[in-house]
Amino acid sequence: MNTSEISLPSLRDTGARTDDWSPEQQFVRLLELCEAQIGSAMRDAETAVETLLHAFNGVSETSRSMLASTDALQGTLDPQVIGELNRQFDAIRGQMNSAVIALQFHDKLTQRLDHVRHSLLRLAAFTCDGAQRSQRQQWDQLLATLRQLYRTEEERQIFKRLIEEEEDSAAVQADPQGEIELF
Amino acid sequence: MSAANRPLSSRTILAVDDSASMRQMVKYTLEGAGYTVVQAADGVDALDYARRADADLVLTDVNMPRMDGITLVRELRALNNYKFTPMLVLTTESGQETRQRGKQAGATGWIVKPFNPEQLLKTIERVL
Repeated sequence: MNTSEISLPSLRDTGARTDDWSPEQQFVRLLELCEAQIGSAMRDAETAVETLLHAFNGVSETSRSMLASTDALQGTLDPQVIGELNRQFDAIRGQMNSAVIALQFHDKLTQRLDHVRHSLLRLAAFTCDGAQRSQRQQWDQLLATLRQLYRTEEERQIFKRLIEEEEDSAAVQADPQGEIELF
Repeated sequence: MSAANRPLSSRTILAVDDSASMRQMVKYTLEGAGYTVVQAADGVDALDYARRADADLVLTDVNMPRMDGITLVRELRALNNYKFTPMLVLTTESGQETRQRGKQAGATGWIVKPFNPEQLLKTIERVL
């Protein structure tokens, strides 16, 4: 999920923060604000997800202990009771598996928002450079760099639709989530 | 004795992901099925482990700091004790180009996140 392979220029080094007012500076400040807001929200969400994961582990450990206790009581409890308990454990396992899938979406969300943050900072740094921003070729290069950030199918589809102005092929393409290919 | 003939608890899976929550989900799924799970936060940590110990299967993310998953697979294939070890890539990336790079590096298979626990376990059983 990391984007460290794409180095980002620091806004502090771009000269964006001077006392002189310009539309470009305001634009950069707003981009920086957006990036900071997303970053702050992501950190808050991270704390909440850590709590959720802690609770998930607690439930998982408790259900395993209860299952072990039930196994230990196999010879002493009514088989019908044991059967009912096992059915309940199966239900818990099924719900935990659903939680495993759902929790992975947080990881994916974090990754996608991280890409948006990087895009905003890239654009801010680009805007600061007057020579770059007036050349179409430089814009094409910027878009090519940003395109590399977007690696999930959903990100690629949005990029194609909005930047490359291709028809949305998401509807006809199979959803790759959970797809397994053995080579 | 081959991995397939040993009890699950003696089969070690090296799970590599820079996301702690993903490692936790993988650990929950695999340990719940009886496997022993060793975790690494990136390719460098995983390679460091692999140089010291064997694993019966490697499950790795692609995009990680310091060393990505595809480089890790390539590096592991160069080690004598990992030449024939099944290596599954578990990633949000679904593009054919990256998939082909993984295949060329020596990956055994490609799984697009989010994984379904039951399907992941079936796939692991199949390649072990």
